[in-house]
Amino acid sequence: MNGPHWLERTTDAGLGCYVHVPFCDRICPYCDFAVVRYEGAQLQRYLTALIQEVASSSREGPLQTLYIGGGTPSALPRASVQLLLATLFTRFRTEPGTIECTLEANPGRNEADLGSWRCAGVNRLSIGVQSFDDAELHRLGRAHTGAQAMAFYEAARGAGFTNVSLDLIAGVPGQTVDAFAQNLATAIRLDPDHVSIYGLQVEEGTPYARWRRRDPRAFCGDDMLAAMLECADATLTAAGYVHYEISNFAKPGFESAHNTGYWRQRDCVAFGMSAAGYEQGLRYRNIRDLEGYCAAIERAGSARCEEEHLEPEARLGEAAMLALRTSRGIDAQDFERRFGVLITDVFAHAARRCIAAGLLEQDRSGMRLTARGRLLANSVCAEFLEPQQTHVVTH
Amino acid sequence: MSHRASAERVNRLVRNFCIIAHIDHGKTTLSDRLLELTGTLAKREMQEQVLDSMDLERERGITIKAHPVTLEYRARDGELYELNLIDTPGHVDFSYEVSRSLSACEGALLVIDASQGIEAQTLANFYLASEAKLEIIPVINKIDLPSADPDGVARDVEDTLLIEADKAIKASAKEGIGIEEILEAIVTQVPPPKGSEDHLRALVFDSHYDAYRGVIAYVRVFDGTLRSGTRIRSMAGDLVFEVLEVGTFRPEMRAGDHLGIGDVGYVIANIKSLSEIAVGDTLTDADRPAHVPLPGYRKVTPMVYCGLYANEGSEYGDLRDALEKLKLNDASLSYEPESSIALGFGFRCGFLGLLHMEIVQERLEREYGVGLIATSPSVVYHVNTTSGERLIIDNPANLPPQPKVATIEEPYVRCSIIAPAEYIGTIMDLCQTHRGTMISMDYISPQRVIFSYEIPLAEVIIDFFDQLKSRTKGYASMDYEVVGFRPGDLVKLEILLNAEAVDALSFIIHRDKAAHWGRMLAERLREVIPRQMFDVPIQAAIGGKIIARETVKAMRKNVLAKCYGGDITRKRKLLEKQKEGKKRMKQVGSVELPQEAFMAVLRLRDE
Repeated sequence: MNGPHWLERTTDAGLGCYVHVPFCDRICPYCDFAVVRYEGAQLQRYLTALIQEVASSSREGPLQTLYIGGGTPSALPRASVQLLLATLFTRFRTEPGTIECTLEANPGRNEADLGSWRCAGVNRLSIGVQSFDDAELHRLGRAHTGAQAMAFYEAARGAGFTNVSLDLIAGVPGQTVDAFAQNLATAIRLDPDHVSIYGLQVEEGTPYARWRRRDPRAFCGDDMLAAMLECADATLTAAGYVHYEISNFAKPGFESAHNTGYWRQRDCVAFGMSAAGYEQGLRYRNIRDLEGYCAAIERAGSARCEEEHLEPEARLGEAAMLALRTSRGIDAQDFERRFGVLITDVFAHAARRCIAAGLLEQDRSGMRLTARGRLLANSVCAEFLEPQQTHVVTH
Repeated sequence: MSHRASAERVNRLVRNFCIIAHIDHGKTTLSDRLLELTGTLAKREMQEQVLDSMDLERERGITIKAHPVTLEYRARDGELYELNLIDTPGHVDFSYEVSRSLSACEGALLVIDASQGIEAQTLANFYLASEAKLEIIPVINKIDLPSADPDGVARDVEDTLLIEADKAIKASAKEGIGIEEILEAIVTQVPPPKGSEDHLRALVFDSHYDAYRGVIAYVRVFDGTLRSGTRIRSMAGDLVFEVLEVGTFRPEMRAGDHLGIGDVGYVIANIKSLSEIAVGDTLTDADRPAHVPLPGYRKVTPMVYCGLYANEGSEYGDLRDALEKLKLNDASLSYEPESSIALGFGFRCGFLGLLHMEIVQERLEREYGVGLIATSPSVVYHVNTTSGERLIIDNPANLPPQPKVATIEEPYVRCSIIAPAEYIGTIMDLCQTHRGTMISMDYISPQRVIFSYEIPLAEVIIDFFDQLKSRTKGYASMDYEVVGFRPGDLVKLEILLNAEAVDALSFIIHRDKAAHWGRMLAERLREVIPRQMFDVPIQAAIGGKIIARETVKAMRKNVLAKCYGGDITRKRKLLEKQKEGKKRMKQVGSVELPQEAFMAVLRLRDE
């Protein structure tokens, strides 16, 4: 069940599904995702719209992965989770338990629901721990403590979850490299199957952005953040995790199949406000605000507000940008099969520049980031966005 | 009438005079009063400061362009006189134009503020007027002010200018006090013009360009008669034109039949551009030419240069058109296309001085709507090469490599500074740190001192005037004139990025200052150059020798974490934006520089 076969089955022809649940008990001051405060009446209307959107999808199943993200999906009433999942599995003719099905959960509440989620088909939990240090959690505006996070993790294990991921944030204001290393050590002691490390990004319009304008020194500089990410790489790798994507570490066989789908441009249907999907070369996104989303679904059954059809070249550039995030990198055979190009032709300039800068390595099988390149992935990926020649043939 | 009398004729009822003053001493207000009292313009017709016709001049309270006017005045002797007032530019940058205007006159009103007293420009103008052998009538203005000390100022005039104190007229142009006395003094003290009937000689003392009629030259006739239909020759320019119209300023242009000895007026002669008829040139009859031109003509050359670039690269064409139009009305402006690694295509522009430069920049922005980037000003250098060539370098980037340079000469100015005596120490210190050499120091009065210094122009154009003002709390006044080129221990300060010299960042500087500037520049660049993929060493070097070094450490982290629930488009857009930002940077060798980096360096000297 929790072996690598999901990943192996993730081919370009498959289909993932993302569902956005925007509700949170409180809004974290660094967050700029599409989130709203949890409120009963809105929740009912939203769920109704969401289920209507799922029902009116024309896409055929089955699904290979299902991901319920947010927001805090774990804050939904138990029955709502059950209803939502049942609708999805039925609509896409997928047998619950046969595919990777992830639910994002925050520690501190709904521990009692863990068993019911499992019954509903959830077999992977992504827990938003962020830190085990109570002072750091306070600065992050999180509602839980470090002890609660540990207890929630143990409860998940107790409920039978055999694929659990923890999220940690690097670069919490006031955090030192040592303090971050402490968080890593605690995480490793818990022995999760998967760890995501997110360098704190301060986004415009958030309370954190205002805080940083007032007091920039409270925030970690890039050098310190780089040191933390290097520390994560060394520590987690030594503990037996594979650094399989820039922000993600997994024990062998526990790589996230759903996210791997994103990095391989697999089709993914998306439901819910602000949800972004990709089907047959078309990237689309739903309306970002709750009222707008609900109204659009109620009126027309669709809430799409952006659509972009990717031309073959753009698709190739994007494929490179995404593949470079993974440890596998740009696979020469894979790209030749998918796009009919030789990566040594279409990315020759970009590769030369990045190799010269020590950010990229290349061999017969393909190109991938070096350790330094992982920290400077934007600079590398930007170079690869525009392939050189225009003879791209999609197969 | 004897033969001799016809050779020398006096134009008894004409007086040609000008008004000279330190800035803000009330020259323009006095002109307005004279116009009003002589009925040249009724009070209600008068806009404040009629003679300064450009907006910019009015706003800044300074006169850039001389605009003559003829006043009719019935004097106490009962005769009707024509008084030609030739307004002069009020700034040192235009001292050549001032000198030409002065030589069109026989007399000058020297206006001195009754509370400020004699200032640097008062003296500079006084000397110019004396050189032109003008009859000088001191006018002590603003006597209505509570702080006025007309008697004290009159004493200073006697001590410093050697003009008897009781010759000075006490006036208030604002209140209309003493105006008639001034007019009477002009009639009685300023000599009437005289000249020979033969061989036309007329001095061009200014001109302007009219879109419909071409160049309108302002002239003062010294000898002979200028009529419409005459074929005239410009003696320095050696060009022939046919006169279409002559006339006088009343104050609007009024066409007449002719201009005779001593008359001031205008000539329209199908002249296409101001460069065809330079200020200071002599017009003569092409068929019966004079043998010798009027004295004092010289070719005006720019002393201060800067690069002008359009804010938006796409406005390059607009900037070129604007410069072309401006040049029609400003013969002393010069420009040549140049391209800079940092700023793209633009123009290297030459100016008479700093004020001239500012005026041009403002007019380009205001009248022509071109957004400008101006590089910091530099002077022109004469470079003698080891192979015996003499090069004129107006852009440090063009300086030959060190081994080929024998000597570099830079322009020097003679600088007069007048200030209260308590600031002697700080002024001497300022001049010294700007490589000045003291020529003299004298007391005008027990409280006031006049210095004469020789200072390299390059030092003056940077921040000298601002520092002088701040060190003396605004009490010092200053004036300067270029006195020539002198060799100096000048070196080219080069900036190397990643061990490659960057032309656009180099400049010429005195050896003693090079190390300090080099360190400052390197430090400043470290602050503005964004981190790159690799360490970027910044070095300042003189003649290949490194004098300062800084390093921009390699970028360590540039990575987006989350996938935003699979929102790949957002991620791609962020990267595309980042890439766009990169494209706007200039690739200099292996280093990518934002434009701000260049501007920071170019403006460093301002700070």
